[in-house]
Amino acid sequence: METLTHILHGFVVATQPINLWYTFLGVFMGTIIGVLPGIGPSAGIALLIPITYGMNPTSALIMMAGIYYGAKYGGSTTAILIRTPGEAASVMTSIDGYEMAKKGRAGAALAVSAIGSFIAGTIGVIGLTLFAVPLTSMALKFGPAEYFTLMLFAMTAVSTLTGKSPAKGIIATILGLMIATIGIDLQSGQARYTMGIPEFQDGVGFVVVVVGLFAMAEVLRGLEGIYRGTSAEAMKIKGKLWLTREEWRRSIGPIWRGGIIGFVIGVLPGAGGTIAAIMSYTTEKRLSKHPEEFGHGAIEGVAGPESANNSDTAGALVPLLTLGIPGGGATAVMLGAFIMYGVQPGPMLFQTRPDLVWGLINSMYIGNVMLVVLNLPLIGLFVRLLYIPQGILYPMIVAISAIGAYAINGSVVDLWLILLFGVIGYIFDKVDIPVAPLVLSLVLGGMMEQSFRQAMTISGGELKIFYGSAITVTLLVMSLISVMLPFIIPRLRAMGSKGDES
Amino acid sequence: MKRIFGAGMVVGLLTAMPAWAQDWKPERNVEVIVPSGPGGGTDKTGRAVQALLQNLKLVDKSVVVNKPGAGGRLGMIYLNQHAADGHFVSVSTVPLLTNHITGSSNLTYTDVTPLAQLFSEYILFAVRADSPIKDGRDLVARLKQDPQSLSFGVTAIGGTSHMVVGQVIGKAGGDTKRLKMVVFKSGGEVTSSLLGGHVDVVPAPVANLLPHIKAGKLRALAISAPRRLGEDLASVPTWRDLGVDASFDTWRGMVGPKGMTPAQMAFWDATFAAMTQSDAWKQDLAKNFWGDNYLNSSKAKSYLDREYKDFKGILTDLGLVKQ
Repeated sequence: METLTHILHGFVVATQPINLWYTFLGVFMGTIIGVLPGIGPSAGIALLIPITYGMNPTSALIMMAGIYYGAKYGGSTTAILIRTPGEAASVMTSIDGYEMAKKGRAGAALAVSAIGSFIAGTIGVIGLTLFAVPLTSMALKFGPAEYFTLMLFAMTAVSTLTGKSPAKGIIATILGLMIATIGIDLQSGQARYTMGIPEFQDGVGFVVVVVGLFAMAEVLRGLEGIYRGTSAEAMKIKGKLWLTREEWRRSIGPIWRGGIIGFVIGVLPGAGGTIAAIMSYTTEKRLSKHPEEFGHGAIEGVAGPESANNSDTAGALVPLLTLGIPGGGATAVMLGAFIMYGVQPGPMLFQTRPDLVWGLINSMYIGNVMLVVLNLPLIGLFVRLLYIPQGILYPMIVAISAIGAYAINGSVVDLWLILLFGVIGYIFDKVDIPVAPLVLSLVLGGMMEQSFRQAMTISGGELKIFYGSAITVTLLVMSLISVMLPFIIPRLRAMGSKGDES
Repeated sequence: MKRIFGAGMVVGLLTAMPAWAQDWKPERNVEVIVPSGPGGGTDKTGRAVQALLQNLKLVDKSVVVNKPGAGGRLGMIYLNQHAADGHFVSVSTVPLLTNHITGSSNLTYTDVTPLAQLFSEYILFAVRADSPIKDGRDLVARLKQDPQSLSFGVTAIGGTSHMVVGQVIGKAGGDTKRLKMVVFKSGGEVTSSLLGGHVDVVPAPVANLLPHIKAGKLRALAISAPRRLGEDLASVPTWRDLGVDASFDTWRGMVGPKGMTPAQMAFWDATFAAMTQSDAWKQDLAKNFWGDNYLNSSKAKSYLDREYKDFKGILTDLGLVKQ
């Protein structure tokens, strides 16, 4: 009952004019930061910290949170229009979103991203409102063994991304795993495959790899087209700008499933929005009646991941607020800001500062409404990008990718890397090797290896740690089912169709 | 009031300096380099310093520049690209010494210009509230009997937390090379793995653990400070209280590029002296559980000389120094 009073009071805090203004300012800046590749929410929030000196902490945190979830709205824009993920978590969108744009459905892809983000973002905030405290104890049950089995389960989805040739899928998967091993190995402190280049000690950045594989490779393909005179016409919008009834019907399921997947993954510190987006994508592909459309412009492949990466932000606030534990870069900067304002997030925060906690959470309902209102009219403006002649568009993509890659660490090595991965992506396309398995194994590989070895250190080399808890056993069983699914489903379908005939 | 006080301090200190000391002051934007990404203690230090340089009007224009990578080495390379330029200063951290000792970096404090030591952070040893480990003595006894009996959560092999454990167990006569170190990507993951009971003991900075100790979820065993701290930590014994002659602090300081002139160093000595005496800085220290340990450039240099020797000893015991 007392909590309900606090929640209602939180709405009073969130709707104060000054806080509405900071919510708007945050989500507006977040959208812009999301559109620009490379400049992520953590750098954006860090830049703002000095400006917030002397501000009311609640207002300042409302603004920072706005940047965080607002960035996820913006991230899909460049992914769909120029195949350049504006944000790591939008990587899956640059596969099917861009294919939709090629078919003249860029408007629909952008619209479903915005609406999906809104619905899933709201699902996430509802989850945060209702389950923040009970979910905390679930998140804590995830130790190294649990993370390993979770990553294993996510990894079994690789077969669904492989396409026609398993051998080619394996090549892509292994290359991704190899890239994931570059850098200082956490468990031993030793450098692996750094080739004496200090920049490689922290590994090869995920955004750098995907900007190369997607955006630069696309530019190289476009160049080839121009030289051979076979280049496609500009990707003009066909049909209506908005979603058709059929597209909308296909998107509803992925949006709410993505919303739930994103929130649950978000609660686990260390997993993050990219993993949420990938898990949503593979889930949708499996559930789909026409999985062959994925990779060629399936709207489910945009609706699901874009929803998941949005509700992930609400999930990530659970460990931040209830434990004072940041799950990623942006929440780590927010934790620093909390402490600077003299507010200690953690077990006591819900009792000591209910006005701040609920003001912040409730501002996210309002912020999500603002974002959808802000982003939908922008679609008409953004799709004009597609009408830019190729001679201008391709150099522009190169410029945006290079600025984005350089902005992450200010490292020239990253510029060479996007070029290298651009060439790799171009060759992959020529010989028909899918890039999605590479992306998946690159994201999951590092964490899977580290959590395996963490668990082995804890158990002293005993494998039984992996079937020692209800969570690990459940995840292992799910992994097994997931591997067998491709063999079972066709049989079930065959049985089903037989049933229809009789 | 604070600003007037700070500005007054600078004027006072500057006038107390010999004449040549006033020969140099920044003419352009000052870059405060943070050799890590946004978020975390090093970034917090750089941002607190830059905000005070600005708010106390110690410099006209300044900006924080994050140069993450290779355990801080890329930040130092960037700093030295501006050799003898007093407009560039960087936060310095323990890995500037330890990475050189373990051979993972070829740059150390002698390749840059130490300008100041700012503060010390002590490492608290904590277990879950329901842990069978009774106290610090019990922890040491268990590890002396079997170094593999307990697992520690840390953020880096050869990092400060690992070194503290090595120092304590080494001084107590245990086998430091066989300790079970489980390495996580961030301090947050370390804390949650202790709360969830996945690792047995966590040695970590006070700020990471104290909220959970206050909430009754975790229990403090000992702190790596040379003498007992006050307030929330008054009841936590030091290792020396427990009969182990070990104390360790993880510090942060400021360094400039190689080849700085005496006039530039004098300017920064005066500036950091003024900054560390301001009330605003003292508040920053208190909020983050940082212990004041300001040393000027020449004292910082000899402090780092001593630290280098100490760290080398500990890391050699842990078997992490390349022969």
